[in-house]
Amino acid sequence: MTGLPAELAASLARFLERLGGMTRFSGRVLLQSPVALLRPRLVVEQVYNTGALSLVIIMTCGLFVGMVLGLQGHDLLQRFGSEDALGTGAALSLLKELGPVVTALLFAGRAGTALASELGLMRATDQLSAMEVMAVDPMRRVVVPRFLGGVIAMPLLTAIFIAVALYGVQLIGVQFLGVDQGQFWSQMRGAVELDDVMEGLIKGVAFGVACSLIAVFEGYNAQPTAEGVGRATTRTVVISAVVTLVLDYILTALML
Amino acid sequence: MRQSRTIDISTGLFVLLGFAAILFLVTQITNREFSLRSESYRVQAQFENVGGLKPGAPVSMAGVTIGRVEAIGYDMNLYKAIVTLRIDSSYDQIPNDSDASILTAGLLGGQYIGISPGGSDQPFRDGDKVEFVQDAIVLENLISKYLFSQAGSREESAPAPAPTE
Amino acid sequence: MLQPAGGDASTADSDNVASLHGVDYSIGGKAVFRGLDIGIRRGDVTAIMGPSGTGKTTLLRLITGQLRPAQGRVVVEGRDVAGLSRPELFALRRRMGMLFQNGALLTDLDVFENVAFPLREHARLPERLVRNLVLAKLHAVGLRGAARLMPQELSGGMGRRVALARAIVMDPQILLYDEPFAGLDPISMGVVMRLIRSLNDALGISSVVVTHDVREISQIADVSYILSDGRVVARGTPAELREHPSPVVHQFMEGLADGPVNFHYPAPDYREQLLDRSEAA
Repeated sequence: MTGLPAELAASLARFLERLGGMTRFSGRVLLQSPVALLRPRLVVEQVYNTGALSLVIIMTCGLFVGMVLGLQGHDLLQRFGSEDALGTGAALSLLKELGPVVTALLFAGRAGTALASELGLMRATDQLSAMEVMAVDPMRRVVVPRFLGGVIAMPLLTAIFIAVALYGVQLIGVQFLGVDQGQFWSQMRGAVELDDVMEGLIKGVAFGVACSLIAVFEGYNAQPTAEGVGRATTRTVVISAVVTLVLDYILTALML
Repeated sequence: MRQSRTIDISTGLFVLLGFAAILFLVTQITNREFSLRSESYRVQAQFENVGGLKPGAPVSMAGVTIGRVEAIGYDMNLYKAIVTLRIDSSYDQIPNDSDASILTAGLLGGQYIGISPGGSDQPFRDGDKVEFVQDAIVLENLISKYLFSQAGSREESAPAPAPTE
Repeated sequence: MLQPAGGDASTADSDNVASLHGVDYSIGGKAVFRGLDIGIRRGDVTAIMGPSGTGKTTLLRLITGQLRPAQGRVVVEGRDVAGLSRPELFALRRRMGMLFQNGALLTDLDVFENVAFPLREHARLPERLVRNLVLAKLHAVGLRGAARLMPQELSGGMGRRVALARAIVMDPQILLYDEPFAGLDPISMGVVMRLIRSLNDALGISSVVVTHDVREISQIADVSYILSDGRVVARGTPAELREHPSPVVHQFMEGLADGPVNFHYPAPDYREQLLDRSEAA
């Protein structure tokens, strides 16, 4: 049984090393981003890769989250006789928290893993090395477009999620549970400000940056073996989830 | 290259959908009754106490929002709060002796400015001052007024007047 | 005539398109190279051989500048690679071509686009010219008809040939081959062998082949180096090496199971271990 303190110290050192590496990597990615936009073709392909291909899962989950919110919200508000506030409650909670956070988690699971495994596989099959030898900077050609694709896709996916979810709330609340349609929408309109929408979109962008960075970092630095790639995808999801939630708290505190 | 055409179209659709969703969220679910982009004019009101009034709060007449609170400042010489109101230009016939009160929306709602029309035939113009104002109701003052009046009326055994809004 | 073990890069640098002088390199504390001296002569097919784990891929990475030596110099085309700026390094790499062990084709592009990749990244050529260049290189490796296949649809040998076409598409001065024969069937091996030699002579370039496959490379190499334990233990033509007195070289060239490179991984005495175990039961 080796000393626990020694092991903790070693873990801490590894964590710091990884953190430092990630920061430097992120710096490089961000610096190269403007240049990469000069090749819109690559970025468009990645917006497709991360965004368009995630549409189905985002919309499906959005619908069901909305429907559940409608059910639960109605049940809860009914106890206080305030069912009419369903629209308000649902819209605000979706816009400010549920929308961005759930979308980010889904994004990490679907798009983040795709990015990580693609890059990890390229690392494992020497494709990245081959590019270096061919005097092509893999960062610019492969990594940064993927990062930008994710950053562009996330806020759009968030908005779509929220919109579909609201439809779900409305479906359950108004069509099935009999909340007055007029009240539903007018109370919502009365209570929701543009600031709330901006808050959700800003979170969407922030989570997009974070999750995309994590995914490309893990993939790019994966061990060049099959297990290495697998580990990289797992780490992507886990770290993205934690960072998203921590970031959520920080942003909420800042924006309130 | 055929493959890339499909990708382009799909991506375009996705981005379009995304922006449509954003547009929907911005226009359909937020307060669109008053847009700051339209023409408006400024009017000032001085209060002893603005209570919980915040910039951006609505200014309404008969329950209809006609403007927004633009800014709240403090005048050191007058010892009063200076509230700047922005009123939509389409409401240019407000008598200039109307009064502005700080009211509360609902039991727990935010505070806003309510304007009750006066009788003057001169309307407010940009830069005018509101002569008649009613300050925000401060709960503590209300309670102490009630207690005081209760104490006073014990001798008269008449029911204490209910606190007025 | 035989060169003494330890090799020497006394062949004047003007003859060499690339050379390593006294290079030290370690990975994770373990020394891979110690005082390595290698000269790659212009126009030659130079083979680098040695038992597994002697860091032959690392050597290629030192030449391309992807790795820097801890000590010593790597000189390519008369310039010290470590002293080059990033743009200069990239310019140098454009004059090199490298064939990776598993081809390393980009999986999201088809064969044609893979070969065209360096052209598209580095040169703004009219599409017609790109097409002609790519088809010419594919023709040189015999795969012009496979231009629209995806890398996943190619056999190992075909994939490697496409990678070779890609490596030569920019008309490099130096071609580096990392285990080009590994895992190929005899026919494909013969094809690759022939291509390495014929490309080297037809294009007037220099080739460096890192490999284990003694039989194959001996048929086409002009000069071979044998590395062991981080340094050069022999250098010469294939014929010379076959007559080499060193037991390490002999074991390697003949493919003997045991010799200076032990069959048995270091272990305690067998008898002792058996007895220990039966007692510990």
